[in-house]
Amino acid sequence: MQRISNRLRRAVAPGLLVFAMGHGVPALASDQAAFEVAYDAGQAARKAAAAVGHEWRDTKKMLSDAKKLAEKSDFEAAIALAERAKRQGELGVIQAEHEEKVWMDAVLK
Amino acid sequence: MRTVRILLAALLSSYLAFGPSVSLAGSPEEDREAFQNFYKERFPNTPFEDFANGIYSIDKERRQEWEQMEEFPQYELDIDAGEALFHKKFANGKGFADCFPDYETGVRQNYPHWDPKRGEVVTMEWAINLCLEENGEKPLKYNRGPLAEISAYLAYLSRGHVIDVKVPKDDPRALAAYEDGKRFYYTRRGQLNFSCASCHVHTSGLKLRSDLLSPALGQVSHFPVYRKKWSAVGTLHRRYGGCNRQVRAASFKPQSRQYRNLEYFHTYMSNGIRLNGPGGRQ
Repeated sequence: MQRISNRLRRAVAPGLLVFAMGHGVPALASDQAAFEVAYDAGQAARKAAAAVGHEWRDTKKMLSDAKKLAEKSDFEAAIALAERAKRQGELGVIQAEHEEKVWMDAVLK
Repeated sequence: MRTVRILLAALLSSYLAFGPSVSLAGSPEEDREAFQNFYKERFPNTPFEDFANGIYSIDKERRQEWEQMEEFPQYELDIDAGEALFHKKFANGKGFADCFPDYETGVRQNYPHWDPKRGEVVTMEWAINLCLEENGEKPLKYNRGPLAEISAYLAYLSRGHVIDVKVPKDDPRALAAYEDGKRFYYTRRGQLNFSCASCHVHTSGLKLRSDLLSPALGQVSHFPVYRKKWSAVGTLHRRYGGCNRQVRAASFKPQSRQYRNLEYFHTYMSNGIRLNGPGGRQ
């Protein structure tokens, strides 16, 4: 009887674990997907700023930190950081476009 | 009356056609003259040649400290190390002296220069690595260490030579490189939105926290420098990178085209100043 009970427990336990995990999987997967979208957008914005010579100092690290947060499943903070990185990239491009028009005003004449 | 109207119209159209462009795009010589006059007016008590001493040319107290430091300069060890490295033979039996035959009488005054064959600006630090590579040796890291020490040794032997960078008129690529460096110098970048000129032209002589902002005129004369902050001798491009990061901009690689062109413009602005490197700084 004891032996049957142990066998039953061994058979049921993994099933229960899978069942328990199964409930969390959809949420985790959608968070991960949302993070990846934010991260890719951040990287694209960073690269766009770098292409015009106006990448800001901390953007790359922000994206690297965002990735670490996502690995710890802290998706809310990870997405927020990736979005900040994206904004930095966008501002770098705006800065480049603006400077293209005004840098010569600062030249000593 | 009609003649006056025609004359006025002609003047206006010629101003619109040429006026703004003339005032925006000065020749290198016009730029240098305006640049140097700016500092002569801003710091009237500083003799022109003394701008080679950076902030110590405009601040008496700091100058006294620096003069005491210069009695036993920390860069002396780097000059000695650089001398030993310079005279070490390559595997093929040649040495740096084969690349820099006039090193004993000074070579730093020849850099940066426009190299028409390469179509690029060549700096002394790049020339050191080109020498190594052409002789089958591994290039050195640019910011610090052995390369900065060799640079310090060559700078020491070049003391007293006058900076005389040239932008050859017969090669438009040289002028384009100069203009690229000029644009970099005056372009604001980074999260703090500062250009090189924001600190070292328009607010030179003022304080940023406890730091006194040095005049750009003469800055290049004393590189490489031993900085207390670095506890070592470092190159000009290391400083460029540090400046960029201080304004929260991503820095460029040392000896990148951007920094070499920047050095070309930056050094041209100090034409007429005597070399006094390596220097000692905070």
